[in-house]
Amino acid sequence: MTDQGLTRRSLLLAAAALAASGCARRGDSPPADLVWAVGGIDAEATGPAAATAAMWNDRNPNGPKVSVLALPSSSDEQRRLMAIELGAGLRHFDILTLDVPWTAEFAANGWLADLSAIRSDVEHAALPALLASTRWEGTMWAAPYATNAGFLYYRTDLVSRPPTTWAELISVGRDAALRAGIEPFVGQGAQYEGMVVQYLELLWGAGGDLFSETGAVDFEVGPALLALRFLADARRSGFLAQDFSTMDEEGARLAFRSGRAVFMRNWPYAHPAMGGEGSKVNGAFGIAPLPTFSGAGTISALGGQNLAVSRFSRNVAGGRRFVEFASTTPSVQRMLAERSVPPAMASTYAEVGDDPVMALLRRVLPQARPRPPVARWSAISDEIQQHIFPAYNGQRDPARAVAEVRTFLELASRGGSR
Amino acid sequence: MTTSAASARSGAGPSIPGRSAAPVRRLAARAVAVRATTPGRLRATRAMLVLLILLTGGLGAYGGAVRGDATRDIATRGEPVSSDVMDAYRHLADADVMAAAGFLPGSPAAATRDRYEADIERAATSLALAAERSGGQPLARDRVSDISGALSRYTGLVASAQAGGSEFEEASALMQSTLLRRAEALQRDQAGQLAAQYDRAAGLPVVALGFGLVTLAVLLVVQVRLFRTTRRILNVGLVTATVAIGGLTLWWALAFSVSGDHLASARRHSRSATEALGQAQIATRQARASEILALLVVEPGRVSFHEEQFSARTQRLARDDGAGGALGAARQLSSSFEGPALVEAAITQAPTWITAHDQARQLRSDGRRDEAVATAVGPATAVFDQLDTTLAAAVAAEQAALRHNVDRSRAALRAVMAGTVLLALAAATCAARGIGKRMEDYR
Repeated sequence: MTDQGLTRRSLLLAAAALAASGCARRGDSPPADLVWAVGGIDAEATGPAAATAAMWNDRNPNGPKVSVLALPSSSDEQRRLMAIELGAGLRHFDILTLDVPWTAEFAANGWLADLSAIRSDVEHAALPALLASTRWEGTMWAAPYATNAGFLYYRTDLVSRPPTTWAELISVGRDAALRAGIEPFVGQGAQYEGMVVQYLELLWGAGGDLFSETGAVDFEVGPALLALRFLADARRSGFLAQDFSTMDEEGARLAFRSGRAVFMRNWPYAHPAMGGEGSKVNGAFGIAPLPTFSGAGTISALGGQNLAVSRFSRNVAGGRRFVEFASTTPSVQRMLAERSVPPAMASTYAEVGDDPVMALLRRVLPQARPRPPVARWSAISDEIQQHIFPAYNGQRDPARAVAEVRTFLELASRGGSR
Repeated sequence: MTTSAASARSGAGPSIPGRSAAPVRRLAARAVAVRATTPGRLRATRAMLVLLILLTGGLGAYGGAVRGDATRDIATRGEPVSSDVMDAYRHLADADVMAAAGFLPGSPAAATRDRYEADIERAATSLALAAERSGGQPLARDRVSDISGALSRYTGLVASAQAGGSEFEEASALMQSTLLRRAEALQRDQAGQLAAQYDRAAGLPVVALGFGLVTLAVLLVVQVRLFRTTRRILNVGLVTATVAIGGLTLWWALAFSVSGDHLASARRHSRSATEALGQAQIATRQARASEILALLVVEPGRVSFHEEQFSARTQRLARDDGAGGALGAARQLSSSFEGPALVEAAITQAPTWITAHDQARQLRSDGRRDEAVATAVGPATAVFDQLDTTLAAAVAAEQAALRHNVDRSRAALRAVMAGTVLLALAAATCAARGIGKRMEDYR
């Protein structure tokens, strides 16, 4: 036998051994580690995702190990990036952090592994209102990890009690702003999903909606115009801060924290920073439910994050176990509450009794409303942004903007895209 | 006259059921009589076989025509519209890069302005073409008119900025948040329609194949029974018909699967060109616009806004390790002859560009703005151009492969269409002749 023959044979043997080990991996060797795709500040080393992963890794020394992979901070960019990779079947992400309205789109595209195996545990643990956003065509594709609801932040040194109607908010805000030489209102006015959420809160408050429960278009012109004209008037009259139209959550948070505004619409995450060092409103701010047009109750959009497992993951079973752990383990969910991230687990709210954020969430969450669980949500949101944004900024006739959104919703629902 | 005739008929009404039943009964009786004699049975068998063979041929030709039409639709409408839309999208993104680059001190002003103007013109032309080719669908029309309206506002803002105004950031914001988003929506709708067209074109003609197999079985049964009654082993006509139908069915199965394979390859090239490489091109150009704007603005808040955009867009391009994002998707999907090597080249070029960008950013934060601008105009422009060219070549390679595959898919169907009609007619004639031969025995 020649040397060459030997080499060839040993190569063949090596290849066979490799192939065998490849087969064995499925059964014997430890399952593949998990990469958890998390967007923006949540992915920071001191953030809630890293803490959740550390808790899992501590309890599971034999793996699979979970590591956090940071995606861009803009949620639009997170969605685009995940869509590009999953669309091509790439296996870089195992666990996906999904904004609640994305679940349907990702499931409809066949990018998610179904979570039927952990469904009953998840349903048992989560706040019931959050479950609609986890399902698509009857199957559970994601588990609620964190929820969210809008708060009204107000300056206790300038306003005696929080207003309950939008009209009161405007008159009180204008007077206080004039007296203090600051701006009345900051919030999410830039052309992005946050603006859509704020518009929807006004639309719902005016008695309108996008779709009815049966899925038919329910975007009535009356409430749609009332909500839009309210924003446009507020903009024109200078009630909204000058840079409102480029402001996102962070922009609003920084503006309110630096004492630039009387009122702010924002999520609970902004709360801790208001009390911290360097805050100009430390000790002089309060939180309240968002007002309504009528003064009765409060209406907030339901936000938050669902966790899902990529269908292309090399360890779908491990992924499911991690998702179950993150969404149904009391200590994980308590850790979220301690960081002012509203937990998705119902029982956590009873455990963190005297925290003001949790107390307000207990009042607001039962009345919070989800964005419609439709597969084309990002297209619908984009359409709302493209028409409502120029309209509230006085660059487009509100009636035309509302008509265009309505036309799109009808075309979209006719296209069987729900 | 008509009325009286009608009433005369209706007057005869009560007796109609009895009278109309009589011919049916007569027909049934005749059928029984015909079946009772061997020549009668043979005549019926011949009629049935001819009918079955023609039906099989007809269904096959119909199935071929439906898929042929769907494939033609992809070739003449779906893919061209998709490519027009991507073309407009790309040129809009490039126009913003060129408009911004024109404000960088030291950049070749005339060349960037020429390319900017060519971009705007090309984007408008491609949009008009897409609108025309897509046949006035309401959604596409709305989007195109939205884009056209915003485009004229955009060029107006750029013109005032070029005349010394400060609108370049506002112009870019309009491009990024309205024009490109509208183009993206148009592309998304188009991708949905294209996917549906591919699905329509890709299905196997199950009914025709089923009929082919049934006809084949019936032909065999008829031959076995003929052999039993007449003791003649070979009926040339029927054997020929059997071979023809068997061959036809096999040919269909082969042709449709060959055509389907070509179509699947075409789809892959199409997705590679739009969903991976096209996205990489857009991300590259958007990131380049952010890179330039970060140097043009002075307010720290705006600088960090554009830097963050640059980072998000380069993440979309390749993620931090260079192997994810749109380039990772391209590596997975690209399958043309030249495509994969070009994608690998782009994967090595992207980090070079990001490194050049980081150098410029460092220089600026060290207060050396002129040097930062020089880096962005010099080395960063060179690697950006290189990457942009590589991506364009990769898209061209995928598109050429796509067209080739669609053509091959159509050719496979065209042959089967012509062959089906001829073979089915031949089979029907042979079968009729074959049975006719047996019938002659009884004369």
